[in-house]
Amino acid sequence: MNMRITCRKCMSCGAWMDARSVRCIRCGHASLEETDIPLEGEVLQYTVISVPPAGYEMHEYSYVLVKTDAGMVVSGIMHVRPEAGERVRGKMEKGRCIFVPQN
Amino acid sequence: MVGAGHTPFGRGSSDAISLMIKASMAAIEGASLSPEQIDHCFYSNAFGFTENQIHAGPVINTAIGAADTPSVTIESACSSGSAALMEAYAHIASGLADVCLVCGGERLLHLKTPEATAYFAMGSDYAVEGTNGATFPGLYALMAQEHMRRYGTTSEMLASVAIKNHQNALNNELAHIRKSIGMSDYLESPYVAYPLRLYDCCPFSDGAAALVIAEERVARRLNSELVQLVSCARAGGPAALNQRDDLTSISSARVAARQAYSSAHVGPKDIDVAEVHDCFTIAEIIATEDTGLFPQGEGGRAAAEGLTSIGGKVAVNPSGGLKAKGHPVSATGIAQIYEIYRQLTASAGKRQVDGAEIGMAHNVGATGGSCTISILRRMR
Repeated sequence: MNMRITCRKCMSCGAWMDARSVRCIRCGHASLEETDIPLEGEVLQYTVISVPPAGYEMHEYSYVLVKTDAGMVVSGIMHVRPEAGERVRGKMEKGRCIFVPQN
Repeated sequence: MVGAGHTPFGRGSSDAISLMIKASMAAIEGASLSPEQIDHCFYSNAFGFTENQIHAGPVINTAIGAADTPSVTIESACSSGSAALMEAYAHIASGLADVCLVCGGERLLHLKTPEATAYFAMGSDYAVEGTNGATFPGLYALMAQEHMRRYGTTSEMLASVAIKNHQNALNNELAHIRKSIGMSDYLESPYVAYPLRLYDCCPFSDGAAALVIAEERVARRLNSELVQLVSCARAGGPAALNQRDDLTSISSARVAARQAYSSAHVGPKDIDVAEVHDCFTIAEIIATEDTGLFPQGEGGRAAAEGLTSIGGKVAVNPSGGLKAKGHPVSATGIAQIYEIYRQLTASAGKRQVDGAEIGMAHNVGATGGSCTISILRRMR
């Protein structure tokens, strides 16, 4: 089970972006380094989705933005309702990023 | 602008193409033109694939007797309609065409809510957001959460946007939802994506809207009731929320607004009436801040104090907005201009904003990956 996510970091300004990026979103620099970062960090913001899209097996779930300890913000799912600022850890499962409370 | 057409929004009795034919002919006839006098057509129908129809232009042009007229079909999520308008504007401004038809339309109510929710999520950065269960209400809910945390925006402030827009739609015979709501209706409505409730969300709608725009000398020969499209600016921004510095503002809207104001030589204080992209109540609050109508963080309070009502400091969404007039995605950006056209020609009936001379339309694609701001002025 993968508990890391692949991102790219700008070697010029330090901005993080997703693995498809070829130029920096902030400064436009082309020198990006691909890095696997641990899915650990704190909940930046969250919502509870009560009307899921078709094909979703869950009735209700939380959709979260997590600021990883490395600095990259990633989105994911939680099966519980978190608090903003709560520490979480995640894993990649069937292409989705699933987070759970760290403690 | 020399002509405008608008079908009723709501549950349509026909497919999107038929709705677009109806709106297009109303706009063409309103301009005292015949279809073959149009130089170029710009269409938008982002959800056409759900009706097994893409490449809408030639189908519509054939039906209106202008099969030889060039057309292009433009997609930019919820800002598809205004993206089409921008292309028409550029064609006329550059001299490539003298008269252009712009039409957007959609049929969405043949889709069940979970199915439509899944299709709408395709307008996000799907690999980052859609695959992780993001829905559009969910993404705007994150923006609402952050706005509430940072600026003290409350559920009651969100409600005031919904209540106002439902009230305005009562006077719009073309609106999808013509039903007055109060604070208790709002607070008792179920959550769709916390903190957004059912009454924070616009409906999926069927409908179409169309405009005919022309080069000024041609326009003056065609119609005495003229509205000038003074500026039309588009900007882009990061597609996904996780790549943004600020969840409480849409950078593409700020940039497009700055460009549109500069090009039109006006500022936010000059705007008498605005149609903004209120796909969710929080979106209207953010829109009024991004376009400079109110300071950052003050949009919620402005709505709650009635400053955005008809007769307030600046009338916002007198048509009822997406929230109550409805949201047939590709028609929306054009329907906003239709409303401004009605307001500036003093033909908006009971929802008329007295003395409206300058209007603005703000049309956002998805959560702000694209945005168009248009400024219009009554011509004398």
